[in-house]
Amino acid sequence: MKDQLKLSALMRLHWRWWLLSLTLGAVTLGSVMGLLTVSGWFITAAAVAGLQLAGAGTFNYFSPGALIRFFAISRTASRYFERLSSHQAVLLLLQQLRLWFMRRFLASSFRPDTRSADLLQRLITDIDRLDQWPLRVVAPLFWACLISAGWLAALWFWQAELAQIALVYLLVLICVPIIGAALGYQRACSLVKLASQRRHKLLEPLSVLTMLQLHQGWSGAEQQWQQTEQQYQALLWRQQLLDLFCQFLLISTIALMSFHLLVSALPLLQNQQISIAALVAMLMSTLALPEIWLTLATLYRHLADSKMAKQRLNQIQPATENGRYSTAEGPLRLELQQLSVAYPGAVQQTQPLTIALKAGEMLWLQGASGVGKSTLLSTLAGWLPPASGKVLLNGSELQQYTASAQRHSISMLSQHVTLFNMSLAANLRLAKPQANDEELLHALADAQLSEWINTLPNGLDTELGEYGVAVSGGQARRIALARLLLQNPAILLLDEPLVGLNPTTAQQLIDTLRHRCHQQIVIITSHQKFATGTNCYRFELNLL
Amino acid sequence: MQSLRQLVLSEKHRLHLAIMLGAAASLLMIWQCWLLATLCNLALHQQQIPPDLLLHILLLWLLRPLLLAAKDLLGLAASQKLRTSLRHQLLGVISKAGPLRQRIAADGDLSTRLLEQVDALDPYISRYYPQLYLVVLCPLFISIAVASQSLLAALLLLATAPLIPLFMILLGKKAAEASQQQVQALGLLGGRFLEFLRGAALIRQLKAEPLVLNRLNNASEDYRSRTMSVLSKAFLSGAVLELFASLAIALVALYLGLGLLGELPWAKAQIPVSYQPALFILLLAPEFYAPLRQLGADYHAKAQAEAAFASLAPVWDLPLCTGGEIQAPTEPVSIEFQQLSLLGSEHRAALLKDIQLQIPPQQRIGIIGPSGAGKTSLLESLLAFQQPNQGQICIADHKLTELDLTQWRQQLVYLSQQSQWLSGTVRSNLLLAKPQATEQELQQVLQQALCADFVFALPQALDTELTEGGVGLSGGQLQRLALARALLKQSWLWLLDEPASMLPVEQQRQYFEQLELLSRGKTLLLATHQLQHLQWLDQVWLINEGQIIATGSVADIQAHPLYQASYSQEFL
Repeated sequence: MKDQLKLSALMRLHWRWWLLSLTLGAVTLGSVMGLLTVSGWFITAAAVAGLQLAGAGTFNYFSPGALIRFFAISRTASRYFERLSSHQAVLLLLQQLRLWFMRRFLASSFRPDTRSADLLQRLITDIDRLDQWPLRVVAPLFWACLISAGWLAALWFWQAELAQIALVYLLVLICVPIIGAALGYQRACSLVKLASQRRHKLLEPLSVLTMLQLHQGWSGAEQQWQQTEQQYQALLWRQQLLDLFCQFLLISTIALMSFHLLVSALPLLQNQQISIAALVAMLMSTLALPEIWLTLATLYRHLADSKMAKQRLNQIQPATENGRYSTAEGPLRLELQQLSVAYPGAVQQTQPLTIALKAGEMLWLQGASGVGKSTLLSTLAGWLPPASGKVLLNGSELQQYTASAQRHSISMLSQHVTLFNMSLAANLRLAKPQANDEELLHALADAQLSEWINTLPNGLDTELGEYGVAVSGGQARRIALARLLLQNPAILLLDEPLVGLNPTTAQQLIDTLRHRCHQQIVIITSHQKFATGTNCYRFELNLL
Repeated sequence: MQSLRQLVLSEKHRLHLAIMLGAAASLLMIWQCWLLATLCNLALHQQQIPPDLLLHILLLWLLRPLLLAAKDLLGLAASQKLRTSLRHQLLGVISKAGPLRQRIAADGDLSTRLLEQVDALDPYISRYYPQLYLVVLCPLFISIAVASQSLLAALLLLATAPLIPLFMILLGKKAAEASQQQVQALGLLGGRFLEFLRGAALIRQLKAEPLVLNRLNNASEDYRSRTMSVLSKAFLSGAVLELFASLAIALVALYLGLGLLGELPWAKAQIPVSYQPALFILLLAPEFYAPLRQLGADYHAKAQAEAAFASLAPVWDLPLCTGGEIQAPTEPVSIEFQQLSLLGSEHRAALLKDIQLQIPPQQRIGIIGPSGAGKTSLLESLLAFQQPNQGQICIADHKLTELDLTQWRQQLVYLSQQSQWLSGTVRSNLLLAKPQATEQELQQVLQQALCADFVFALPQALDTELTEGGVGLSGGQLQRLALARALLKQSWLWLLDEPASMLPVEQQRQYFEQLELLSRGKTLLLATHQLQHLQWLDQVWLINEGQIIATGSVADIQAHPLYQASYSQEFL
């Protein structure tokens, strides 16, 4: 699959920032260790020098003193800049991921509706979760390996015999996150899945709560949910136990190592192979190890989380283009041959409809709610395949045109109008970026919105949406209609455009539409009846 | 539920034990540092190391992580217990709230609060709360231990200690501000991202992809630069605190080292602190600041938990009706509304005002009025989910609020405007009303509710799978199916809310004719937006803005000016 997301590629684009933050993090941890080691060495060496009173005067305490101060400051400074650079890198990563995903989502055939709100929210959380990969998986692993390797090298250089002991323990340490992954990775993955099941099992009965309460069905539904919940909590509890177990393993292994090193170093001290100051320095340096290793206890969890998030994001695939024709030439003809439609999952389909429409003609669809008027329009827009029968555009089946050709010729005003939190002008210009204000106002006037726009102090610059001016459902629909008129497609599919209009304005809207679209094909669904002039067919839609 | 702290206190046994274990681990650590210092001191003076000293050190070294693990375990257990019981309580309230729950949030949002938001309390309960005590106890123990060996070193540590609460407040405030701003900015950005995702179909249709990607890029860029400038300040206070900690350790080390050399400017050739206590102090110094750093790291957990807890607060404030013990009548009795008023959520006007009405048994009543007039509220008042703000409803001789409500609701048939369906077969949905219903009964009610023609025309008939919310059948079919389900229930009181609104006109006539037959002998309240085919109603109430405007026969109401004004358009 092209353009799939890979975890290993996450840090590639902004690798400089990641490298900086990894380096600074290593400097920080190194400084922590350095501060402890040097101060331990310093006071022990000072004590030794103090004991041999002659030596006290000649002891150079300036350089260790300077080192101690240096480590103290470098630890602080590098931690500060590490936090800044890692945040910068994460923000850049998230920006990149959002753009990547938006591009991919727009290229897919996924069509969000009111039911997909949950899914979209989850996808957004998934994107945010991917920062765990660099922050909680790569960085801790890198630091633990780098610092431990450096520490081991220093130990080797000093006393190879002790370093051999340390090496064994470090190998055990690196096994702990592996044990964690072996014991917990699968569970962490099933927890992620179970979490969405748990939500779904609660949400479904909750959405029909009143009905269930009246039919004594709630306690049963609640019990079912409780089962999933208990299963989830039990798994979670075991995961938390595993976390604690891994933490305990890490700390106690380090403790054992420190002790083993200490016991092995004591004979060397007695043989005067090493100095007491160096021994204390070694002891102090091991005290800095737990902080470095502890984050690896939960490594598997973050690994599983980011893997699952990646998988779900990759599930949104760009649509494959399989149309043969990339444009529809000349004056358009739209033919419906025995067309019958059904919403996906519906158990019934509509009565077949046969009609041929050419430019300048209108089709007025009536029918009870839920009968399939919107489904018919969606089918004509190419969003749904016909249940049976054919839709022909200029003699060829609609499905044989590329998606882009379909969108170019056919545009639909659906009942769920999308207006973005942008200015009115920006919302309209989505359809025609180069349109001037006059064109925008003209389209709004044609959608019977002149009166409304005149009441707005900011006119076209009025902000719409959540943070802007309140727009009623009917107004929103006509703003969208104005946008559609600006786009000027050859075939307009209008789903209930007259909602919220009084009969006079509704009639005006129809008249303007007929005038403005005299070279286009217009298909309107409505539960009201209006005079539509010539060249208009009417059809009452029913279920088969 | 009053506050997060009070909630946590209901698990105080476990949590206080966790705090004690944390404190004990800190004492063990002090003891161990002393033993290590002793060992090094012996080694320094080239003396024999006693084996039991080594054994001691090893035991302490292993015992401490054990104590810490036990402490964490207790915290987690307490947290799980608390969250489970909180969730149980919340779900209990919400399930008793029926339609009232919509005042808090939509169901999707509500379940997020019940699940994720309750879970967001976990770090606060299991980590932050115990740490609040340990952050005082551990440094206190350490400074006492240090002071016993060197007052000056203790003073050096303690000199930075008053800075700690100061910086904690600063750090807390800054961090809170920063996280709040970040959350807001992220919300804006997330909102924009979400709305573009939602509008994907439109963007594709308008070929506005480049425009949208560009806008999104700018928004992310803007968010990033703003966040970074906030963070660079917020991290600074953390860095200053860290600097103090590092410098204090460095100063202690230098003081001890120079002291051992006898090179202190104010005490030449004197050794103020000998080697063993010096090493002891040095080992303890980093531990002095460790709990504080931990608390700082967990601070965002606190902010998160508080926000989550605040989002749960509205659940407790729902005006629920709890009911009483009195058996609900199972035969038709009179119903009386006595000066009943119901308020909506805070900013809205009253749903019902001073409703004073009497319904004799087996009366069939139509309720008509413009949309938003209170038809649904009037029907729902009889479901008794909401506690009346004034007045009451009397069922025969008893107040509705004193009845056993579970049993009362068992008596009711209520068809809401949007019929409600679970995913599953048509059969399983029907059986909700009467689990033991026979095949024959099912066929009968389907016939009666005019469903038989389409249900048995389906290839799988009663075993047809409905997806969630009833997708698969048309609105009108679902409305008839809801009536069939209602017919399975033994009930004397029917509350129907526009039960035929989605049927075509011709089928509405059939539906209402059938309803007339089926509802004989029942008390019926029928909310409707028109009176065609409803001449058989005994009485009609005209309602507007939560008040009863007029009552009378169908003809009376049809002659009423408000009725004519509202409905003339429909019959053009």
